[in-house]
Amino acid sequence: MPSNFVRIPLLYFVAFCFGILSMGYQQVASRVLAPFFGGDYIVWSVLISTFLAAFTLGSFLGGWVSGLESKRRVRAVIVIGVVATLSLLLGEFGRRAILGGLEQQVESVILALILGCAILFAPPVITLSSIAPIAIELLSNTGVASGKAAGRLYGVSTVGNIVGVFVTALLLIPNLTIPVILYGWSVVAAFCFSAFTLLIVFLWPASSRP
Amino acid sequence: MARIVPTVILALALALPAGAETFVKEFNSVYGHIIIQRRGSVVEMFATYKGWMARESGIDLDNPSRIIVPYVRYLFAGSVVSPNPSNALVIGLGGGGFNRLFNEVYPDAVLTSVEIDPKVLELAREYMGFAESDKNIVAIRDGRSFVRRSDALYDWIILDAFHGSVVPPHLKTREFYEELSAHLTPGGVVIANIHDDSELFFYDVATYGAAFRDVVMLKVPDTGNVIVLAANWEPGTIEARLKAFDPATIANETWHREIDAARFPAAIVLFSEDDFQRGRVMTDDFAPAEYFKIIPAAPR
Repeated sequence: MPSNFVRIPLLYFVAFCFGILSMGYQQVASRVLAPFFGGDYIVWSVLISTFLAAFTLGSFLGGWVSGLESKRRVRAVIVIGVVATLSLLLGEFGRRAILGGLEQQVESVILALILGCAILFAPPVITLSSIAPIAIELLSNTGVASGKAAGRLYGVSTVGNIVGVFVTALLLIPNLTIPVILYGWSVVAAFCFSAFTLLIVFLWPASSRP
Repeated sequence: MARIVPTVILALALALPAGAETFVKEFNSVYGHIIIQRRGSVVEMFATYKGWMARESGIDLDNPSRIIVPYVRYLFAGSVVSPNPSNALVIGLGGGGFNRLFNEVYPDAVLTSVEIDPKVLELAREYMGFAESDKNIVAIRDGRSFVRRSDALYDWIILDAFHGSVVPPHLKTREFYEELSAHLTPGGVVIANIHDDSELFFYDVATYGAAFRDVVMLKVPDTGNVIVLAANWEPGTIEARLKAFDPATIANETWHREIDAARFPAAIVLFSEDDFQRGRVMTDDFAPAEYFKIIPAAPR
């Protein structure tokens, strides 16, 4: 059995990185929307609601994956990682056409916003946020009580959220263009999903429930 | 902010002269906190921003075409570089101080104002004597969204949209200025109110320079305001028109009472090569306006 001394900190680190990715992405998303819809409270309301809805769906998805048999779970995490990476890349390539088309064709600004957010931002956020329940399941398999495991993982992930918001707002947006940030997001997401997959395969080899 | 703003409001209230009709009233809108202050016949609109009050607009109810906020005088440099506008667009209504003088000086011209905050329009009507007409139209919408959906061409496009002391980033990008340029008549000009108190100023300089062939900036004396005049004409045209202007070409008495065009050439901001290198061009993909707004401008 792999040492908890190694695998638990690695699990926390991956959860921390996913926290950075999911909330930092919200800051980037607001900049993606701004040329087409502005940045007022309506935009932020729809954006926040989209992210919360995606977190909800991601939690259900992750909860389902966490209960899968070990090999199926690994395959599911790989598929989720590929979808996350591709949807982030698609966001960069398709954002102007999608948002420009919606802004011009849909009379209701709110409807256009909801559609734009759902198409562009929901897939990556659902997939990014599906990792937390799986990580909680892994942590609880090390002997940590499930309540403690959930509290610790969400705590670490939320610290990642905070770091993600500040790093994006104060370092990335003032210095990098949106395409560079989104490409970077795709690369880091691919790296995080790969690391998470390797963690499951090599450090939690028999962690699934029967 | 919560501590400072009430203190400022209290100080304002105590400073008001007794006897005349005076008040300070606070209002909340979904876009922020608005203060209306009346001193005698003068009513001013402020937005609170980071603990201090930014004056958005002012009006003398007894003489509505009198300029209260100094930078408005320099917006009328448009009269010199693009005379006799028949169709104008202003993004950012405030209390409509600019509108009063414009409507009086150009009674046949249509002025369309785009304002995102319905509360601002409501307060302008209630406290600042603002009234819409077929020559003074107001649309409640985001300025960029309005422009994208409009087919109209304008002789003047005035950019004066602030959230507190910050222009929303999507209204400061090269792509937006190119959209504005596509809505100008051949003789049309963009006139923008910006600030020179932060490093953002140099990003503005770079961005206007990238989006327009001919750009001149006028420093409003004793304020942080700079008025940008930008058009896609031969470079040097705007400056030449400012310097060659003959006041006799404008007959309107109110214009001559409020506007001193002789000040415009002296207000032209001179830039060094270093100034042009200090900021990057802001685009839809790179628009860190709020970030550089909080970094004070280093000496030039």
